[in-house]
Amino acid sequence: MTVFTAIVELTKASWQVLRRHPRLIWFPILSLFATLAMLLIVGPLLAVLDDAPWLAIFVVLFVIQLVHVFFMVGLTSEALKALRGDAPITIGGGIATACGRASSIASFAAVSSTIGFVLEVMGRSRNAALRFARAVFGTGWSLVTYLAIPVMVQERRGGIPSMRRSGDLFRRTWGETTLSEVGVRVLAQYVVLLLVIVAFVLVHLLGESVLAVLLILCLAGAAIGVIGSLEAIYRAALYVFASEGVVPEPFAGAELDAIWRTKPDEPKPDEPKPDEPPSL
Amino acid sequence: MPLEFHIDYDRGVPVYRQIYEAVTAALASGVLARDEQLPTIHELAQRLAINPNTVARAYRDLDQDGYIVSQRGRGTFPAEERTLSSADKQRVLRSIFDRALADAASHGIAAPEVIRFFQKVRP
Repeated sequence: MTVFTAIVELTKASWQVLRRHPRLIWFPILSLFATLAMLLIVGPLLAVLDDAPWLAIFVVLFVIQLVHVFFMVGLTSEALKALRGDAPITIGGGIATACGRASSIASFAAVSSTIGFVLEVMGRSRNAALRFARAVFGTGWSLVTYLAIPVMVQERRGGIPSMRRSGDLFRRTWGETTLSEVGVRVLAQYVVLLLVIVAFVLVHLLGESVLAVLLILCLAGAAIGVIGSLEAIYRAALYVFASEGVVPEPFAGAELDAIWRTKPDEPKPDEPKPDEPPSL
Repeated sequence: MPLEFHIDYDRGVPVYRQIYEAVTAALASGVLARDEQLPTIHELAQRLAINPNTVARAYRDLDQDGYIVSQRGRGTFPAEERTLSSADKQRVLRSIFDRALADAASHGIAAPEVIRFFQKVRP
């Protein structure tokens, strides 16, 4: 199976879950609106930080992270429920779970916005080595913390312990996690390309009208909702595989067995081998 | 008394394996009586807030290894008495030992103290 067909199969499995629970699509859209609202509130307050533009950037990054993680926690909790077959899947249920994890979300956002800030500083450097280091470190960071949010939801850990646990799980599922990261980027690029084509067609048909702009905005919102929720569903499924050792439905199809091998079957280092006395 | 399951995510052992070990340990220690019904897959999945496939996998492995039998329409029960293989015995003992250490740690008792106690105590 090629990487491309693997991405298609994983997207199809996530899509099946999304079709059964279309409400999930609202979490990324609400996250976008909430981020805009928060920036509108925080924006005027940043005027006092005129002398410290870096601090202003940090505050903005923190606000964006806080809102993003809040809605991701809500979405992930409902995605995990959907994979378990639990009903009902509601926006309120996800938001209630996120409210219950407020302190973990805040600490997670504080750490990730600090890292984001450091990456931003490195990215703005004229030094090519620093910019390269930023790309490597940024990718590594997003892979190692990939499962932190499902961990926070399912295992009720704090922000930093969730990151640590995500790192442990990453060691077991680095291939699948990397595939997911690549998959989402590829999928997002295709959707953006499709959106640009549709936008051109709409402007051609309707002219530069308010209606065309509104339609394009609606399509962009829907695309954000679909990509965000597909990714969260896949991430939740990957967490179940990494932590519980079992591929959940509908990811357990024959094609996906080739992608997700049941590695946790191997004896763990702390388990005695058959006919060997356990080491105390 | 219903069989207690405790999932410890810090052990680094997959959840389905922890369920497997909990059932084998409960059988070995007599906590799970031979005529006692095990919770259904969905009951246990809901109780532990885990995926039903995880419980199904644990039950399938237990069934294959001869620890439990699923009776259509009646539920899942421990299998008839069986002699544990050496490997199974090691696994069950390890599971009992790990849980004893975890239980002791939750009371602030360190592992070496538990090991010394096990070595000293006579049944």
